[in-house]
Amino acid sequence: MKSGNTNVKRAVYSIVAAAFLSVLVFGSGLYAKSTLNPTELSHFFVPFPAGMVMKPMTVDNPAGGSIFVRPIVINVDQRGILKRLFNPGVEGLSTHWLDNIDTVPHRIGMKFTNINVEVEWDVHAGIPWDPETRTFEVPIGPGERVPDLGVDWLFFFPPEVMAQDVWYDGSLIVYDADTDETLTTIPIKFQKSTAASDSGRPKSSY
Amino acid sequence: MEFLAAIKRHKWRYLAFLGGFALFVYPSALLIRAAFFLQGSTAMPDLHKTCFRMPFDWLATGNFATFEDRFLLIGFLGAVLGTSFLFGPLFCGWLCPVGSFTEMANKPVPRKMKIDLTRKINPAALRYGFLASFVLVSALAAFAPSLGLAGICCRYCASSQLQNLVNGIFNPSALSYWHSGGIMVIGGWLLIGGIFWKGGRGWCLYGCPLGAVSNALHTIGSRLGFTYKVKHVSTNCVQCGKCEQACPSWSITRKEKEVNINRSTCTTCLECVKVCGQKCLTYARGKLHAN
Repeated sequence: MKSGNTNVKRAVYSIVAAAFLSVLVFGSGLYAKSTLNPTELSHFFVPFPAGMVMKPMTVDNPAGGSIFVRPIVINVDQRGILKRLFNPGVEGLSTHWLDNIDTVPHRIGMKFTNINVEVEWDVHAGIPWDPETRTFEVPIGPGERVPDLGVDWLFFFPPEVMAQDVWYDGSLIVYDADTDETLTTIPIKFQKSTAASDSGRPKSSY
Repeated sequence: MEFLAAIKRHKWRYLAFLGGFALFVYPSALLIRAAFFLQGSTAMPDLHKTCFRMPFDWLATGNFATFEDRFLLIGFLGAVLGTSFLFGPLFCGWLCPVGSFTEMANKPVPRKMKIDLTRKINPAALRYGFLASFVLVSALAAFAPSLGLAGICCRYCASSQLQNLVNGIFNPSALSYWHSGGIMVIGGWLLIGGIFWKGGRGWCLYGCPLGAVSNALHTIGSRLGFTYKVKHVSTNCVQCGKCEQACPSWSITRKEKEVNINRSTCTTCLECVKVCGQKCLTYARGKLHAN
């Protein structure tokens, strides 16, 4: 009888533990969508050529489907509480997706405009990358994507910049390294809730 | 020191842990380097390239095209799942750097400081509860975006955090950036599920879809006579409980004179086989119950 009770208790506790874990997983998914993905190490697509990306839009991909591209606006006050507590002065952006949507190949380079803080580039790809010139050494064909790409840009904001409403207001430029032609310009902004905005309280884009 | 004796007793397994790091973790990542060399790729060979989570996320979201050029990942998954069916989850128990790291970090911690719910809950509930939730969240994020869910695959990734920690040894600036998800994972994987979890394999139970699927296959495979599995021969058993204590994945429970091995969580690490002074536990082919 005692063994039976123990088994029932164990089964009940197991169900409670599994339910708790499910709530935790769903809660983590909600938190990631609402808070973490838009504001911390935000990932975004970089098709080229897409021109000046003034607003969120989709562009046709000759390889099939379409690609969503957007200006990047990070509201640093919306970041997760752990980030704000333990590592507030470093923010990151990331991409795995550099897609050539043109009809001709491009050997691309990347640069930021209006840089006012230290930015660390961490670029790894399945094709050679020159960290000095920040260009790929081989062209990307039409409809192709830079293979096995991982790019992290880390922005190091010193206290005097963090005291301002806008921490960084510039753009990422993707250009043809052989012709210097600008292919895509993605505006990037790190700002506080208190920063002025045309649409009221600024929200992180995602 | 108890943990040093355990390491000495089963030294080949702990050497295999080092082998797992050498094969999968940057800067060595020998297996991944070899695969990239054969492909002519200059991509960074790190633990991320044999992700334990993304394939299950892609399957849940119907993103099958992502598999097209992932030969390394497909080969890795095929090997892990195939060996799990035939021999038990040997990758989990012997090679996985994410699990072995926390298991080692856990060993010096006094037993009284560790979370031990072995007799209170069935760890299979955690394991499959997580797998079901992981798959469901991924699918809902993809097919019902209005629910406001995102997949938890990459944002809460223990492999990334382990690789970051190792990168930090060689280049301290690798530790300069932390996102909230990463900090939460350090808490859930390394602290709660590792250092302060009996056996140090908590994340394997409540955070790893590859481990869950591996054990689901082992559960099926172990019922077949031609597969290998850990078996208990009760004739000599003195119910000392050493096997239950030694098991890092909460797979062994004793009840009266029976020793039950939970196939849903057993990683075939063979710690129980090594610790049993009566030779009651074996790793062999044949029927599930040896007697």
